[in-house]
Amino acid sequence: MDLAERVLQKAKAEHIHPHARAWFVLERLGFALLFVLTLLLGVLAFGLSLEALFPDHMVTPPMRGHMRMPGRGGFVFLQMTLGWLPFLWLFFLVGISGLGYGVFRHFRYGYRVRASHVVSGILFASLVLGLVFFQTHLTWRAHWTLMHNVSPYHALFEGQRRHHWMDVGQGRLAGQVLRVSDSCFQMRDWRGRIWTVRSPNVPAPAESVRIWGFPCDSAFCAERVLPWNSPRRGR
Amino acid sequence: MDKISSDEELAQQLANGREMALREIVHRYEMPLRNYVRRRCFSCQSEVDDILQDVFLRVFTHIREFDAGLKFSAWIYRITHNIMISRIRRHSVRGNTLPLEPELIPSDIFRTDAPLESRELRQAISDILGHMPDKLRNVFVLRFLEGKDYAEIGDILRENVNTVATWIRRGRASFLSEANAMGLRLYLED
Repeated sequence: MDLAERVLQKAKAEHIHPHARAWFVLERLGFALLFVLTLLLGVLAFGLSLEALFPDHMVTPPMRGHMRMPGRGGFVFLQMTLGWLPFLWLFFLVGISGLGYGVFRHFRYGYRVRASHVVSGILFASLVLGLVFFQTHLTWRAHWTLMHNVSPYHALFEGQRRHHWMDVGQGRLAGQVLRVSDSCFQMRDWRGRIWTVRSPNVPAPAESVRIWGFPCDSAFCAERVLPWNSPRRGR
Repeated sequence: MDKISSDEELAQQLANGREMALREIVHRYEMPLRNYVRRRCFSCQSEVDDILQDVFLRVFTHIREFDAGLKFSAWIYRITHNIMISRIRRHSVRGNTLPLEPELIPSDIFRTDAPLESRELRQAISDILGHMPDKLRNVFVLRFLEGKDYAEIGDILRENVNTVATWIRRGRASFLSEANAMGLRLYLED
């Protein structure tokens, strides 16, 4: 029996048929989706590195001695880690680019494109889209989600965030509400100082808040009061 | 079956359910692929028939994946290459490597100053190929023994053509230096 006959006999005996074209289309679609996913991860990685570099759209303060984590004294470790975090995201981005190339090679003629062109294309797209996502606050959402769901990430940024919101000279104050009355309330800031805040909107007692305003007489006049754990970013 | 149908037309006919097209494809490719497997996979010599059966069965099942923008020969060599690679991986555990038969080496592409009989020359080349690293032997066989061009080798191995060019250059250098080490002065046309 010749080879063609053997192949056809085997196909018949084992009920083997040519796969439908849709199967291959689905397979290609799967790779395309995987590629989009890796690109999205690259965009997020770059956007998050920007979030780590510019928290609340503000340059990370230079290493200051009073930038402590709440309840801990390891601020040197914190500063070092915060300093490295953007680069860790960038390393992650490079890894993602490699993964993206691996997926791209599975496209119909993906292997014909040089690896360096694919990787630099992914990096470029991640940088441009990451910047757009950062400017439109989309990566802020991701940053916020990480902060509130991943405790090491939270520990890294909470101290920095508290520090950022304890700048009365720049019109920012944050802490926990102690007592409230009609048009003012008393609060303890994150350094333990007691403040009287005049505000048209009075929060609930025991609530943690952040306030935009200005010092007035012996109090702080609030223009806007927001919950501490709200994802809305700085003005 | 139209005798002058191109490979691509045969693929289209097979995709449309004409089994006769498979017979013609087997008729055209059985011998070239048999030689390719024997040249490329020293550890597969005893299983060439099984490999070819797997190759044509995969052609049958995956024919609707074939893209007319690709040469059919590149596609079928790619399938053969992939099946061989999986066999080689299995054999690397078992390790029953057999030498390449000298008849499978075309003597006209190699020239030498040494007074060697054609059969001796082919035996020497077979030994050299046996000493080459697997990846380099891969492109060397496709380029110099199968006579494929760079673009087709790229399509077979799913590699960028510049990468293929680099591997061929290295393969050629590796082959010639191995020949020199054996005291054989060979010339190889590219």
